[in-house]
This record gives sequence, structure tokens and C-alpha cells, in this order.
Amino acid sequence: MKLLEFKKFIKIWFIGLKISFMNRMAYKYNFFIMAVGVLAHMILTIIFVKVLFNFINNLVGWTYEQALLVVATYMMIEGLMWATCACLGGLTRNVNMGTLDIIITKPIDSQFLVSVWRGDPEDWMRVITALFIFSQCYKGINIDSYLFLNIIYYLILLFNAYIIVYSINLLVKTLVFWVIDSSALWTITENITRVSQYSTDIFFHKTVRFLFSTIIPLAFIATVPAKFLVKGFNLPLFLSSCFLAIIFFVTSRKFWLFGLKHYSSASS
Amino acid sequence: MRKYWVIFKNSIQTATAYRFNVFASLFNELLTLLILAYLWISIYHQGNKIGNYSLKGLIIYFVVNKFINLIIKSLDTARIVGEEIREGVIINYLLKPINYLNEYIFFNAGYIFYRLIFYIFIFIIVIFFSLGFFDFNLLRIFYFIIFLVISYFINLFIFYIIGISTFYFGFIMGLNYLTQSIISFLSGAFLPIDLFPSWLYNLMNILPLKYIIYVPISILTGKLNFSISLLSGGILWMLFFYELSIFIFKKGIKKYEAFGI
Repeated sequence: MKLLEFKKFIKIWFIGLKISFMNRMAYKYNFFIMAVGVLAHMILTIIFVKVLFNFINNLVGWTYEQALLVVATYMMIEGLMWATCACLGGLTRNVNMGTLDIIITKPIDSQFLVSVWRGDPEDWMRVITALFIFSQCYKGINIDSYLFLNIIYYLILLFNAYIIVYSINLLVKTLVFWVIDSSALWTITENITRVSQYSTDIFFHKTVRFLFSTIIPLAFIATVPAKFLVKGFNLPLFLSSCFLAIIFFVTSRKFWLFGLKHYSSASS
Repeated sequence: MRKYWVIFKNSIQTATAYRFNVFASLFNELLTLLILAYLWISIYHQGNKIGNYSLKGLIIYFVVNKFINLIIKSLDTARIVGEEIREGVIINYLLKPINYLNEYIFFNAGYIFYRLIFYIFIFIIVIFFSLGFFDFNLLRIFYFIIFLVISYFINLFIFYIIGISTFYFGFIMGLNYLTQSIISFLSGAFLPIDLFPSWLYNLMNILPLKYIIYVPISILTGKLNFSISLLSGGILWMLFFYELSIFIFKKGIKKYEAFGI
């Protein structure tokens, strides 16, 4: 029964991605320019790091290649967030347009449906760029006999990071139920998570570092996964990442259900 | 002129309805500023130096940068104009005795005026606390305001042109994103352009993008001195983009088929 349910969710997700792709393909040139735009944005980010390292040898202990690993990890998470659920763009858009009713009356979990309502296929370019950077930054990776295991741990942490970013998005964007114009909610989550493209080791004040490790766990989005590739396995960090992913997901889920109770339709 | 004044007032009233956005934008910019400050402080604490910028110089650069972002980039011009064309809303303006570009400028100005009331106090506080670090004087602030106006119009006309490209492309979301990415970087929003490799810096000196962020900030902080050639360069680029936007609009409107109404 559970397996069938799971299959149904996966199927709906893929249908959502297919529809998003078809929507984008209605304006082919726009899609390709968008993909070029995403690529340009990624290249400019790399140039930023490159220019920075023209003046410094390392950034709080991270070499150029290692700093790029953090950037690539962030790109990977950002790319997956946009490509698979458009950073929950479906939620704010449907509330503003008054079309959320159509989603919440469907016989499937409303949070799931609103999450997969839209995906931006051009953002796979971020994931591809990130993979390319990984191939160029092998010098920064700790190549030892545990490399394969470290990659497995890295992928688990990447999954946790995805859950954390998704949950932060859901927590912030659920505010749309109380706010009339939600366009600023977009940039809030984007700017908060964008911080994680820099190693959180730059926060030398203990309070700020604690803030970005627990309350807004940006450290676990890119810095901690990249650390596993650079320095190897670290049990406390691994467990913290799993714990935070669970806590954030459960909290955002509860907040979503709470927000939904306050939703008053604008369409009828 | 009176009709545009009404548009200006309406725009302020509309902006007051969305106060949350004003505070959220401020929160956004302050957050990114905090992160950048940490980044630069970490680098300078290691004993490094970025170009010929002092730590305070870089932080002030990004404070003013955020102020410019909050003011001149507060509305997504290309998206607004593009959607009005795509959805056929522009027909309402074409049937009235108003100029669409003027209408948009006054709409945009009203929105920015409302934001300015909020942000100007923060900016004055920053200037006050920076007095010890820089040779801020009234003349520099006056020149800064002139270049800020040029920056505003160059930025507005560029994105207006992207917006009216909808006449030709039908949908300009990708073009808008591409232009935003390139302009943000090359105008000096990520890094002052004099930190770029020399070939890129020389190229940027020829192009108009430096007038959007780098020039106003450098004039204010004393990195650049006011000169007639700098000013005339900015005005010429502004007029160029204005004429180009008029030209593209005239050509575009001839082939426009109003769909969506």
C-alpha cells in the first residue's frame, strides 16, 4: 500500500516536471536564453571567486579549489531546488492568483502538490555546471582509501541539505497566507540560502556561527558537505545534519498545516 | 504634465499598500551586506588586502551599493513592461493620450520616492558614521546625486528595452534574467570593477555599465574625481538608451498584435 502511494507521488512529480518543461518549450528561444542566463550567472560566480583568489591564498583555510567545492555544492542544491520544485514558486503564485483552491481540493497531500506544481528545467544547467566544477576541483578533494565512502556520505548530506533548503523555503513562503504581496518572500529565501555559497567559517563570532549552524543552518547546506570531501568523515557533523533535516522538515510541515488553516480563498 | 503627476501619486498609494515588501527588501539587502562584511573582514583579518581598497573602503562601497540597489533596482522594469505587452494591458495606454514610457517613468518614480522616504534615514546614518573614514563633503554628495540620477535612467532604459523586446520575442523572462546577471556583475555590484583583470576593466571603462553602480559610489567615496568628461559620458549613454528605447518601441508597436484581451 505504502509502495503504491510512493509510486503515485513519484509519478505525479514527473508529470509536474513534464508539464513545466512543456510550458517552457512554448517559448523555445526564451528557454534557451534562460539556460544561457543560468550558465552566465554560474560562470560569473566562479569569476568572482577567481578574482577574490587573485588577492588571497586561502579563505579562512579553504584553498581556491576547496572554496569552489563549496560553491559547486551550493550550485547543486540551488539547481535541484529550482529544477524540481522551483523553490516553491507554485505556492506564492497560486495564492496570489487565487488558484490554490484547485490544488488543495485534489485527493493528494496539498503540500506535496503545491511543491511539485512547478519546476524550472533550465536550472538543470546549475547542476551540470556544478558537476563540471567538481571535475575541475579534484585537487581540493581529500583522495584517500575512504574516498568512495566519503562520496556516499557527501550524497547523504546533499540530500539533507536539500531537505533543509526546501523546509526554509516552505517556512518563509507559507507567510503568503498572511501577506498580500509576496514578491519579497522570493528574494528573502534566495538571499538567505545564497549565503551558503561562502564557507560559513567566515563567521568568526561564535554567536553568528551558532546562528548559521542551528537556527538558520546554512553551514549544513554547502560548507559541511564540502568538508566531508576535503577533510573526510565527521560523526558529530553527520548526525547534526540528519537531525536538523528532520527537525526543519517536521517544523515546516506543521507551519504549512497551520498556515493552510488561515487561508481564505481569493477566487470566489 | 498633470496626468503624469496623477500617475506618480497613484504609484505612491499603490506602494503604501505593500509595506511588507519594503521591509523585506531592506532585510534582504542588510542580510547580504552582513555576509559580505563578514567575508571581507575574514579576508582582511588574515592579513590580506583586496586591490588598493581598505577594509572600511570595501564595506562602505557595499553599503552604498545596497542603497543604490534598494532605490534604482526596486522594480523589475523588464518583467512589468514585458507582461503588460504580453497580456495586452498596454492597449489601455495606447488608447489614451499618454506616452507609455513617460507613464512608466512616473509610475516607477512614485514607487522609488516611497522607498526613498524609508531608506534615506538609514543612508544618512551610514554617511554620518562614515564621516571619519572618508572625505565626504556636500559637493561630493551633490555629484553623487547627479550620477545616481544618471544611473537610475541608464538602468531603467536598459531594462525598458528588454521589456519592449516582448514585441519581437513574445516572452523575455530568459533575456531579462541573462541581462540582470551580466549587468549585476559588470556594473560593479559584486566587486568594484577596478579589481577586475586589466583587460576587463579597460573594456568596462568603454561600456556604460560602470555608470550604474561603480561610478556613483566611486564619486561619493572619492575614488573617482568629478569631471566633465565622466558626466558627459554618462549623459550621452543615458540619451543613447532613451533614443534606442523610443526607436524600438515605435518599430515594435507596428508589428504588435494585441493578444490576451
